[in-house]
Amino acid sequence: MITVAIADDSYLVREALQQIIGRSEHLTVAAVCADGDELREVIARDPPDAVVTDLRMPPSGDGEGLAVARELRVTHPEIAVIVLSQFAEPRVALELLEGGAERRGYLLKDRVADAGGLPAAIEAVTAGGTLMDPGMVGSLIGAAARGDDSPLGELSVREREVLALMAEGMSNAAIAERLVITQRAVEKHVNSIFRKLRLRDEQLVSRRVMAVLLHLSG
Amino acid sequence: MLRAVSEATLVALQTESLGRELRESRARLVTAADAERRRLGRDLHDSAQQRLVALRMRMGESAEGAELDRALSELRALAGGLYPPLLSRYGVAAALEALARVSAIPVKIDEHAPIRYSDSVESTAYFCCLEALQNAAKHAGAAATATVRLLGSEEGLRFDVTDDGDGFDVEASAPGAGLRNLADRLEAVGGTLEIDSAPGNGTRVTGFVPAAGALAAT
Repeated sequence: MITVAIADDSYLVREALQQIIGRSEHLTVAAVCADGDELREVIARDPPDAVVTDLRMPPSGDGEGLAVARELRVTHPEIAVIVLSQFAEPRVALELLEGGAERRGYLLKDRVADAGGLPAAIEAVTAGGTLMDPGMVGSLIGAAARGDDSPLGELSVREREVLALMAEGMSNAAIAERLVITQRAVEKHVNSIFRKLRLRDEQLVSRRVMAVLLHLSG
Repeated sequence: MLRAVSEATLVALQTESLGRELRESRARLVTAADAERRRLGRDLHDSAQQRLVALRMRMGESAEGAELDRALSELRALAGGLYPPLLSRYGVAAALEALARVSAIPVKIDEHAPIRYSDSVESTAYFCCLEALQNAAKHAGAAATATVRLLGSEEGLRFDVTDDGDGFDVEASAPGAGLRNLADRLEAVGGTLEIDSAPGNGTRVTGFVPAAGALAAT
């Protein structure tokens, strides 16, 4: 069982999160907090495996979830953190990944309900992964591809699909499974993407997410 | 004679002090209106939006869910129009980049010498650029692209919104209500706004918002 601490300043959102996480067989809600300080106390007393926190809540308001995630990187690097936000904003996501992308996830609140989304995300980041909201990645790629001189124009449709899944934090094996192609084919696409975008090939999935997000939002 | 001169001086002094008071009171009004907009934007986010988000979380993929998504995105646009959520945390360029990603025409943001200013300076510059970009999207033609340049200095924040679209005859057409409001708003805080355009030559909106000693830490 993966133990999860929830933090959100809205009672209704806390209730909804508890319900969604409680439905999963692999997850159990260990604590429910209304702000960052309550969350810090809970973690100090009885550290959970994963934290699902609102981006904006008291005491600091904007970015409180990011502040907790940053502190945990130092005090409890083994705890996975998913930050829930209302904004598909790459700067927030990149700030979350500063200092290491492992065990970090950024999800839009609206999409938490979609097919298994949140429980699967909690399991993925607890296993050491990185997870970026597909909606945010999609709008980022769409915007980056619009300029006439965008290097994304050189990518094939398939390569763009692979790029999106890389940015979401998927490994080559996971991408192969999703697109129903061989892992060797994925590797070829990945090499071609890195060459066309003139990016350094990153072996680690977590570092790859950072590199792709930085490129897309640059 | 002497009395007449001193009376004239007195009148001049009074007029000057009246002018200053008027300017100061207009600047105060603009600042108060900004604070009110910000409060309204945050209230919308914290109340109705949170409630709908919580409801959305409980709903899976369904027709009602899709309908709720539309309501949420409308509400988010409304709250963002009152005060963009990213402005105070990440500054004018980031808030404009978020706007650029969903704009009808491609928009490039160039930021030189990024400096942070007070909320009122940043929101004035943001809303001026927003209005100029909306005008470009509406009138410049579908093939147009726009560029925003931001140049920060100790004196204040200079912005420059250009498009390569259809342009218009500045002499022949009265400025729209949006731009007139902006010019008033800028004048109230001691800034400037200039519109330069000619048929077939695109449009350029430049402006300056004085920092007025309210330079915030970066």
